[in-house]
Amino acid sequence: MAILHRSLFTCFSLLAFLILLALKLDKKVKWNWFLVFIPMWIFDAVIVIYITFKMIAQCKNRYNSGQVSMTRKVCYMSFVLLKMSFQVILCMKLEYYNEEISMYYAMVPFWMFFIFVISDVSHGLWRIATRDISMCGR
Amino acid sequence: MLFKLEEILKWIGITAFEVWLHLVSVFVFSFLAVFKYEGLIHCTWYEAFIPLFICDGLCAYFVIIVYIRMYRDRSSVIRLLSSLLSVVLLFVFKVLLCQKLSKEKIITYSEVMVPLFALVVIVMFRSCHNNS
Repeated sequence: MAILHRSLFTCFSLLAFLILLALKLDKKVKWNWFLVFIPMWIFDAVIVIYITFKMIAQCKNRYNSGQVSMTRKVCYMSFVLLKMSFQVILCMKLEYYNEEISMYYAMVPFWMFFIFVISDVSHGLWRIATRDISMCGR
Repeated sequence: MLFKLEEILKWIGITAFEVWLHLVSVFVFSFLAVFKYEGLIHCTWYEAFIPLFICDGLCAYFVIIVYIRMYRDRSSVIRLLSSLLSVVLLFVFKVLLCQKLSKEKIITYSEVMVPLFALVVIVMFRSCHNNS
């Protein structure tokens, strides 16, 4: 997928999710919370399929330095799984077990997901900063 | 995951530091919001939203600093306006959400989310523009 398709797909699924969320929170519709999260499930499924295809392509072809490494792809897959588990626990809490499940349990996968994403972005920030410094030094 | 960091920066048009700042502020806010939800801390919603407001303030500050540094460049005005627009939309969304949660005003969640809808549509047009 080109970056245009990926960005448009992200925007569309986010917009659809926000519209459904607003309708549900305003009590205009009486849908199950799992239905409200459908755009997010589709988004996550597409990401999982996309990463899987990339992994298979990397196994079949030779690895070149411009590509994302296999370890990083496995990390990305675990990010998506953490995000999905957060959404499942949140939906279950909101729909069925409002009293039984504490909000802390729902947020644990979210916090883990965020710690991983922040560390990944910090690494990217560090990489960009060191590249800029080395370019200035030339 | 779906994007590399460089692709996100090119697509949304913000710097990596701003992305990092937003992530950290949402992370800290999530702790405060959950503690408030569970009744562990007793503060107002405005106090719980402080990390998000600080993040917006810092982003606006950096946008203005970048504009002052490159004010001779013609594209700097467009960059300033587009960046400030997204910062202002996010800030308005957070203030409306805060007012809604504090039950200060009787507004619906659809009205609260209007700035977010506008922001997503703007980002959508921007992604088409960047690729043309």
